Amino acid sequence: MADYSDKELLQMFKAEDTKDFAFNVIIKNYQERLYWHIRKIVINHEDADDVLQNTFVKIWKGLHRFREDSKLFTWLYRIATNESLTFLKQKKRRYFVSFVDVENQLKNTLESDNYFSGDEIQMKLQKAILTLPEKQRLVFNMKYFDEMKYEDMSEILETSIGALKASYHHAVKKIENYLKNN
Amino acid sequence: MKNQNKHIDLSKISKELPFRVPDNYFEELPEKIQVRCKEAEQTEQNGNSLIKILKPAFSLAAMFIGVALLAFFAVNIISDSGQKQNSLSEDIAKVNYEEQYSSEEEMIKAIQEQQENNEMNNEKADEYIDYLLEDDIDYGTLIKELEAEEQDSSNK
Repeated sequence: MADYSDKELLQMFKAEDTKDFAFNVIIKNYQERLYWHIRKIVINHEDADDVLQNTFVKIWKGLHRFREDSKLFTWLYRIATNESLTFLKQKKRRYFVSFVDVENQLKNTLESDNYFSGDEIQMKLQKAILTLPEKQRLVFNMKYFDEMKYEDMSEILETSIGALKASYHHAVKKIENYLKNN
Repeated sequence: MKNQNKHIDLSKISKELPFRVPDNYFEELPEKIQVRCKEAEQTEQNGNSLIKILKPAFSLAAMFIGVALLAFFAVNIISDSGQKQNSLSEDIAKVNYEEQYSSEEEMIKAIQEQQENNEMNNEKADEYIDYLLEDDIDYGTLIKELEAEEQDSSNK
């Protein structure tokens, strides 16, 4: 498959006869990155699959309104992040009714997940990450695993670079403490 | 083991994600997504066309509701003015009574007198009816006698 720039793909998406083709290329270019970003937030594969599909449906509906004053990749990440957080919020609301802690539920999911392939230390790290507040968890995952630039994170999360750096610093301290004490 | 865990250094943990996906997941995903997008588009179009179909019906219903509301308010306004008229005539009668009679007692006395007169008239009417029935005088004969009496008196 030929490589197309984001700009070319957006132009092709706007033309009716190349719209489907362009969208298919966009899916193939971004599906894995977005999947792993979502999976780190919702943990479970089935949930990640559901959120990812919803994310792409939103992208399909809204791509013609995308203004090229930001990068396509940060715009896609922002949609994926919002979809994941909305999913977690809905889950929290459901579990709030039945008095179950969602973070604990996510830990249980982690332990029983058939698609978890890590060792004991990696499991411990994932559990440590789940103890973080939602925003810190996002920042830590994006910086630690994806090694994303603070500038891009700032655009995706709509937070200042200074606040992101502070957030990551606190997250690392908490995780190190968790690893030391558990 | 516990002691060993205390020395876990974050920088030494693999940055590789410890998750897997089902076989062929990413190969099959684009088609699944395309299908979902087309379905979403179809649903949206159906929703839009349903709105298009129902739009004239809604407009018509809205028009009927508007006319009904107008009629309702018109009836209300008319009946209000009717009530106002009734209450106006009651007010006029009250004022007339108040002009005729200086005190409430006087007014009550006058009403009682009027009622007594009415009763007397009713009694007289009853007497006349009894007389006509007892002497078996029919209404036509009575009229003739009265006419004749009137003629006699005019001749005189």
